Amino acid sequence: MAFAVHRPESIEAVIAALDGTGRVAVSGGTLAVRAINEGKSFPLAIVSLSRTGIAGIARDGDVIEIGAATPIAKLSHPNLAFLNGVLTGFGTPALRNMATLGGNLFAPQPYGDFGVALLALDASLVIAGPSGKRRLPLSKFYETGLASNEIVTNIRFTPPHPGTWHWLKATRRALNSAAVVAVAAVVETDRARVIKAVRIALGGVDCHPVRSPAAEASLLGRVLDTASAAAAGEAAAASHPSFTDAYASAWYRKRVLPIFMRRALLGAPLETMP
Amino acid sequence: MKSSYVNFTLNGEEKELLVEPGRRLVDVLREQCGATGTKNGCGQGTCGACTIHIDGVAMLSCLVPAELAEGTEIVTIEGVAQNRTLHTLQKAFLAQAAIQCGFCTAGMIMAAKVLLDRDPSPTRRAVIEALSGNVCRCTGYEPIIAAVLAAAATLAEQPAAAAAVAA
Repeated sequence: MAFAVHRPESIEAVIAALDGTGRVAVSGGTLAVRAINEGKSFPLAIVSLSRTGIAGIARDGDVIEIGAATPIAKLSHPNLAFLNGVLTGFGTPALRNMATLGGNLFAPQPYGDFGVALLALDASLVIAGPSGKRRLPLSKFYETGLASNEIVTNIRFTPPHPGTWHWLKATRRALNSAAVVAVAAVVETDRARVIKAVRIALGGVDCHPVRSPAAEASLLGRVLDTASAAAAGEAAAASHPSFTDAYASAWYRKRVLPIFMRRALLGAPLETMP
Repeated sequence: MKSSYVNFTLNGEEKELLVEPGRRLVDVLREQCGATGTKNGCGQGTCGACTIHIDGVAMLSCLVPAELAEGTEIVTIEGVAQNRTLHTLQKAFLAQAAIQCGFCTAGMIMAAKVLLDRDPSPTRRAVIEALSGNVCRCTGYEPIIAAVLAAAATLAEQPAAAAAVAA
């Protein structure tokens, strides 16, 4: 239990309220409030983003810009149909109503499926802090993090061309499971199916979502087929540390990564459910 | 540590409550409003026992600091029956024996109700997805899924009851 709950009505007021010890920014509450309930976090004050108006989905030319406090459930949107697979595999209905896209960037692995997807989309973030706003590539965000008085206000990315998006998550159950491994990829091929550009991001292999340069390098210039997709999976499995938790062992994660990489890249029939 | 007044509507009734800072909504509902139908299960957003409707959307009341419910309309399991008549979903849970210890039941019904409000004739798959955030350690889920499908079938036969669900 915190000692105060603030609901500032502007981003500037949120930044001001975060200036001090023991302040925590809360968006949907599914991570920060959970940590408080579990006794893992003892903030003096909760600073809610709920009144700042940084929710919503907008188009800026070719770029889609999403407010950080947009609930995951609201990503079921005509402009974001390619993300439906990420959305339906994410948590539970009530959790999707609460958890937000910005908050999901802070989810510890093996959670944070949207962080994996956004990394493959080469997303960039708009960060607000005491000295104003700045842009930060998502890949840098995972290396540097944010200062305690900064927040993510927007997430920006260019949607992939039709047919270039790939997503697959290995799970313990058909629904409501964190990732054993998650694979997100944007693969651009020419008419001969030779790969001209590729971005691959992985969940369930490191302490935060990561790009897989080894898998990307192994695919560039090759025809996308069973052999090249399998080779990319082996390259990825050999180059990431992986980890053990209640969902899976590091050994198991390394074993299934190449399989799910291949299925993600080639398009596997979805698992059926009774 | 300073308490503050929080106002919201609970099952149609205006509430003004003096709340300790950061107190979880599930505790405020149970201990300050007497609405003990909503259960405090895991406190992690994992089990679904504390599922309620906030402004018509299913949410987990263990993850909501009560101050953040200011100005909202809250419906709990106590607000599902109308005029002391059980809702079709509640009757179906009884008829199908979809309850054993009952701890998960309120959350199950709140999760199922948002599904039926949106999709009065759900597929079995849609029911399973709608209940995927609600954990039951007794029944094995089969009677619960059957109860939701039976309630949908009953509502389809009774247009008036379907209108009451939507209301």
